[in-house]
Amino acid sequence: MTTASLVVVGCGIKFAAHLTCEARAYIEQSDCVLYLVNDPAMKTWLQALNPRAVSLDDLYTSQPQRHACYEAITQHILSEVRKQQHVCVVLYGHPTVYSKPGLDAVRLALGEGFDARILPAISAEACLFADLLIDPGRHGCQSYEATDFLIHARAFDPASYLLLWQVDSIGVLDHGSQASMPSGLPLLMERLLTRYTPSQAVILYEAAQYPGFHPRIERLSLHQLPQARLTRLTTLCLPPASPAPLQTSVLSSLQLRA
Amino acid sequence: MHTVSLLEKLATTVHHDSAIHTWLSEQPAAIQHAFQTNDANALKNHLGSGMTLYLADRTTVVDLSL
Repeated sequence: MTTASLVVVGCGIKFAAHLTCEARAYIEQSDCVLYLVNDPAMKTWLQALNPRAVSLDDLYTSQPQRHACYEAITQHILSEVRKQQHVCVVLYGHPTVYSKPGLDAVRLALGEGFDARILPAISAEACLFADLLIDPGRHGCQSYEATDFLIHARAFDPASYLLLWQVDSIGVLDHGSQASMPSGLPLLMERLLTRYTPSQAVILYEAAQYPGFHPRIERLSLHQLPQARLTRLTTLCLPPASPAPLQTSVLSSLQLRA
Repeated sequence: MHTVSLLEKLATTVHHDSAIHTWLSEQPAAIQHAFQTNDANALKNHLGSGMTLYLADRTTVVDLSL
């Protein structure tokens, strides 16, 4: 039997409703529980599930640059595992989706020979597919962080779904700024208008965070985006602008008929 | 009923059996209003009042290395 382990779990998006049985068991039964979540109700609830639960909030804001905070969190998690105890880390949403410290900690722990793993959880993207009735297999789906999308000039296909995350914080890498750099949204508009028309349908989406609440689903045209209300949780969804053309030579090679 | 207990009850009750209106009547007006207006931020602020509220709801995953 191992004396030390690391399990990173996600609490999902909707309070309590999205926590799996498996994740709950690790939270209740681990020697040490560390959590980084975005909801005071979840903090209270985790403390009740395991009185040994400790918040990572102080480390989350310990450095001006977020990358430095994530590194501090990763090292703290490792230091708890090295004390030869079973450690559970609880992160908001899915623990590897838009979340660096849990992933880094598991990789390092595995490198040091510890039993370490990540459990899947419900992400905001999973909520989006359900709430907007999207099957990503039907037309394909591209998913980018908004700043990453711009600075790397990611190629995208307008015949497929395009999801852009964190559109309210384009160019923001620190803790101090809450909203996008002023040039962020105009740059995003300029990029999108290279492949879409101004009348392209756009959906602003925010998953429901609490049981009894509804998701925010706002439909507008691309040219209306600069006037839209964006929050830290808003995701931009652009449905396919047109059907993808069929490649007749490939159809023929596969002996398929349109 | 404590608001966190209310949320837990709602999370484990299917919607057609939920007595949400009865349960909400026991809650402070600010909570009732947050539910009525679907304002999760208002609920979050109410629950977080009195504590230092960090919202770990954004992540910097951008890689700036060339």
